[in-house]
Amino acid sequence: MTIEFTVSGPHSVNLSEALAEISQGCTSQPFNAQALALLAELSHILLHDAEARQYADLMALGFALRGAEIERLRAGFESLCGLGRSLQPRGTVFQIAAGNVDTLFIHAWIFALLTGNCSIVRLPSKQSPQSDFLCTSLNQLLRDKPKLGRANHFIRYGHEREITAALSAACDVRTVWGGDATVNAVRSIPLGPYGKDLAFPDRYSLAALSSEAYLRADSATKDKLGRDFFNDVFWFDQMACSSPRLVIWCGGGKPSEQAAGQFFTALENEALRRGHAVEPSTKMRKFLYACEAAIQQPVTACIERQHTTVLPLAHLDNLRREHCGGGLFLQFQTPSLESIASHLTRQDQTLVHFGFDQPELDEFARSLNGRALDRIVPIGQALSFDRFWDGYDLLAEFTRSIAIR
Amino acid sequence: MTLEQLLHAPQYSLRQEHKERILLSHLNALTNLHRRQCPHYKRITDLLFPADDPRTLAGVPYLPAGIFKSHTLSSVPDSAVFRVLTSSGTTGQRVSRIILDKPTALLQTTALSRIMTHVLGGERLPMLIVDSQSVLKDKTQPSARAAAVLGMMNFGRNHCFVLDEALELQEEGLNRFLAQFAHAPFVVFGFTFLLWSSFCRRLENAGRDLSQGILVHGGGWKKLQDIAIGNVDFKRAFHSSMGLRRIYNFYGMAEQTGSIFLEGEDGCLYAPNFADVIVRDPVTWQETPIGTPGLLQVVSLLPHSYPGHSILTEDMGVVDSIDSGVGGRYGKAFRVLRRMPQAELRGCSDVQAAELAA
Repeated sequence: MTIEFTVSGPHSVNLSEALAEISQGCTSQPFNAQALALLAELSHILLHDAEARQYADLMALGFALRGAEIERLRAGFESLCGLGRSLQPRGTVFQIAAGNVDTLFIHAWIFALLTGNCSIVRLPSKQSPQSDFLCTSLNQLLRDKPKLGRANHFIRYGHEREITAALSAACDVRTVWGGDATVNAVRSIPLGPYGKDLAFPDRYSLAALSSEAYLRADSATKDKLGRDFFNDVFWFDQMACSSPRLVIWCGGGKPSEQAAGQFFTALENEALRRGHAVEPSTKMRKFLYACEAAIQQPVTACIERQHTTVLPLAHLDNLRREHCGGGLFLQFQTPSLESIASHLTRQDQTLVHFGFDQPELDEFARSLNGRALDRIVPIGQALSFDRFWDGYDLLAEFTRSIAIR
Repeated sequence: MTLEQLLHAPQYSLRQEHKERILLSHLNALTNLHRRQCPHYKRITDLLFPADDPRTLAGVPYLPAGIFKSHTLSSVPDSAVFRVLTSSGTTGQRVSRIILDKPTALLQTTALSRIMTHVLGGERLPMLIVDSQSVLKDKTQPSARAAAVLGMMNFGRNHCFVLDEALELQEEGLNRFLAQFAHAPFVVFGFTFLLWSSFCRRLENAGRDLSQGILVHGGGWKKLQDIAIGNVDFKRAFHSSMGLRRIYNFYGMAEQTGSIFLEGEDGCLYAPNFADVIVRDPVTWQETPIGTPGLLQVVSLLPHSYPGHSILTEDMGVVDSIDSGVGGRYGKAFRVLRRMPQAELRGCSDVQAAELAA
């Protein structure tokens, strides 16, 4: 039973040695200079290293860590403080990273770091070039920041419940990223009495567009929407929870049909332009899904392009949210956004939108009364990881509120 | 030619072009039969294959093999169901459920017999089965493995199962069988991997003489590929360790039981008169030219009680030649290469739940 530390001089130790090593870390002030310097250096590597630049998700991470973005987070954090309360780190954040979103673990870790916490990040057992690159970079950057090096641990271990239990008992916050089964499995392992759990289970996401607004848009806007939607969908092969899987067209039947035709053609062109590869097994999964949907769902047609399959639905009653990924879309046309509200559930996380004005979106969010949707963001931002995720504000969740009067 | 005539004509005798014309009209008739009888199939074909009767074999609608795992597709009333065949297959843990009525089950038996007599002759020979008798326990819902063993047993006599329940070789039984029958032709049947791991490897230096044997085996190469054993190595090992020379691999699946593709003298697989393969590009799914590997689609005229007459598999294969006539076999000569490559699944899924809960 060994635990592999992948950063700070990679090495493997047994559980008690690992716990001793982890216990040497101590917390820092939120937005401390060392943490900010670390993120700035990481951002620089991600934006300039030739290897990193091959991966769109690493590039995006590099952008998310630029000084201006971090400054924006600091301003947001400061607005939470004051008025008789001080926000201080919770202690040790134990994060169980999602199985296979290569870079999500680092996004989540950043919020724990910024808030001054110690971190233990259990990396997915499957390695990817992206996660390997991140570990190598961190290893290099933490070498001259011994305090942060002692407080931030990126580890891998096998199937041992005993290790998860020991780390759960030792942490102050435990976050689980993954599917429902992962969340339930981890929840069955107790935390210490002061510990708190944050769970990020299976979610479903959708897009809504105003058909009229889309048809009115100029061709540059339509091209940009194609590019942005491509990023929303294909970065993680439509398998990320926040990637849209259902596309809602708000407007009349004819305009919606016309808009959908143009929109998916633009998406197809973007995929071709970028040389997006069609994986044989992905194509097979989509074909199987389409056959199953024909049986189980009120599908009215099957519109296949090289990279996308669109299945229009007659209605949204009992919408099935299992999905195959890979660029398959359910589609529904409706006169107005509010008419879909009754079909949305707690599972629905992100709505990416185009062509609605702010009051319409506000009104729509209010009409849901917190029943559904944690993010309502423009097309192109489905995967922009943010302090607000799944209804949590991570800057607030990773700190304790100290009352001072 | 009717299906009856196709079954009874000498197998592998049809030239490809002629064969495709005959198969096409039968397959179109089957498509229409299943569209009338199986509402699920009608929904799928209405949406995914809305064109009229195709005019080429490659245009015949096909189902993904996986659909038989998620749905039970039947073209007969419940009262006509004679047997439900189940198979775990190789993808995931869900099992395929294949609905058989009596006429389709009978067609499967007849078809298999027409294929096997081509290599075994008309007479029943003593049969060594490299499996455990315990595989046959459940008679009402046989597994595909059991169905294959039962199907093959029809072509032999004095059956002898040589593995115990733990799939260990029982040498005593083997020795008795060989003492009695090894001097004249006999059949050896089993699954490729079991034959390799529980039989060939065990008898490597045992000096047994099985030179009169005719070995028929199938069930896939995946486990052997993992240890880098191919058809040529397999044959060489059986020849050098026990003198077995006449070895026939077959390719088939539970979704088209009876309709197996048997190896010819040239090491290639051949389709019987009533079945065929189509190789498709793994990305575009367009039919590939001879010599270009792709996904295998299998068509068969046997499935009447369920819409399994045209199935896109997840196996990769290649057609080496057409109408070569080697060993009197015409039509497509093909090889199965491997499973379709599986992309890494990305996304926030549940791949590690089992690990953490363990």
